[in-house]
Amino acid sequence: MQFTKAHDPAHALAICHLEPGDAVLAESGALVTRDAHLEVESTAPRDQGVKGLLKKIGRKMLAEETLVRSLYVAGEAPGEVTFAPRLPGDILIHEMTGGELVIQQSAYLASSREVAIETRWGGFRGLFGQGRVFWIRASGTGQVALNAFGAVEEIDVDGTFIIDTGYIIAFEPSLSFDIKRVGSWFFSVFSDEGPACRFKGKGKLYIQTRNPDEFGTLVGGKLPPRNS
Amino acid sequence: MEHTITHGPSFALGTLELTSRESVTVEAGSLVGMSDGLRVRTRIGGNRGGGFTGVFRFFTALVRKLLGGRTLFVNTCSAREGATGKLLVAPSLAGDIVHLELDGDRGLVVQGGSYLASGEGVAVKTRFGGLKGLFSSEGTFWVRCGGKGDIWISAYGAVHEIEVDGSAEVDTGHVVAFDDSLDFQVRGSSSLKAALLTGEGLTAHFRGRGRVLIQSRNLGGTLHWITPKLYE
Repeated sequence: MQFTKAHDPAHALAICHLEPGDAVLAESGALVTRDAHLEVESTAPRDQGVKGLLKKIGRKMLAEETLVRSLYVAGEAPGEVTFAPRLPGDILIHEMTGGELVIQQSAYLASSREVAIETRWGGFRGLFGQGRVFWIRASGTGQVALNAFGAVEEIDVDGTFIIDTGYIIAFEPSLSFDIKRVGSWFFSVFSDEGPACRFKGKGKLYIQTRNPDEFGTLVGGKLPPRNS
Repeated sequence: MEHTITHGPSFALGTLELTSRESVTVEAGSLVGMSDGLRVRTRIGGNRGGGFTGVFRFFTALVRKLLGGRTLFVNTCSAREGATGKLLVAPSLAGDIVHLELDGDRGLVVQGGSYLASGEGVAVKTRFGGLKGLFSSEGTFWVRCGGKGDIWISAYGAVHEIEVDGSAEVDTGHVVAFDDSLDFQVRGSSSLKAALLTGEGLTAHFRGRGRVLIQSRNLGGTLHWITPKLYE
């Protein structure tokens, strides 16, 4: 399975080339085209036991998580599937080589079946302000396609780097982080500034050059109120 | 101060490198990220003044916020002695970032929403757009930048420069910045009826000699297009 991209950076499209026996997992709603002979399977996250149920409730409450992803499987013949994100911007194709990558939920587009995808609730520390954060943990070997609102900027963190949470796409788990506010709490009530993540350690951090929440708040705030 | 602008023209990102004791003023919402060790102070409405004017600024910022306009909160970020730091800045909308240098003679008036950041030699003052500005869809307010140093401004779309020698008329929603050597007046459409029917916004009239930087897209125009479609 191989991802390529076209029409980047402003309006990138992910093209997935499947060999016989290959499969690709994708965010529901991301599909643009698929060869008709490919099989489609729906997958819901496997949450088991009480802990799983609580996780499920947590996700529902926050109404952010898409519970269903689709798996596109090539049987005897090779095939091609294409995926597109909702907003304009670039796509990052990341090659996993046995390590792990932590992905902000809304940046996930698609991934090879060989890559294990696990959704984790960001917990309360990620809940302040607009910063509802769900993290997806990807592990294994294979490619992952992530979408950016705007361009993708790669930052080599060595020491400490602070970033507004709305810009994060993904980071290597060799980095640890805590939530911090830039400037004073008092002013941030008025200044629309979201919480920031302070990363520590050594590793790669991928960011997008526009913040989808900030864009939504700016445009949404200028639209007339909903009637119903 | 070293700086680079990457990923332009569609989704530009500004990277500013601070060295020992250097500081930069950044519009609060435009701060994307920064390396650790920088000192950050948040203020309202510019980087000059305090006391009574500070209180006054706080209330004008609050009023503007309540009326749905953008507030100009700024963060002043500075590098400690002997330390270096990196700042990333980006606007909210798709578009480019341009860097200008003020020479100390000519000042620059920047549309509030287009101001991104400025160097320490630059004095930033908010100027109220007046009643017309308050009620226009753009919620126009202006930032007057004087002094000497670097300034970074952002555009919705591309930045296009026009030289005015005489007079010129620009839709206010497209104005990003202009030299303060120009006389400037905001006028409404010829009649209220025309404004309602055509949806055309306010017009900025410039007289004199100087540059006007315009943006190739106008948020008011985008909203005007999208709003009726919300209820179809």
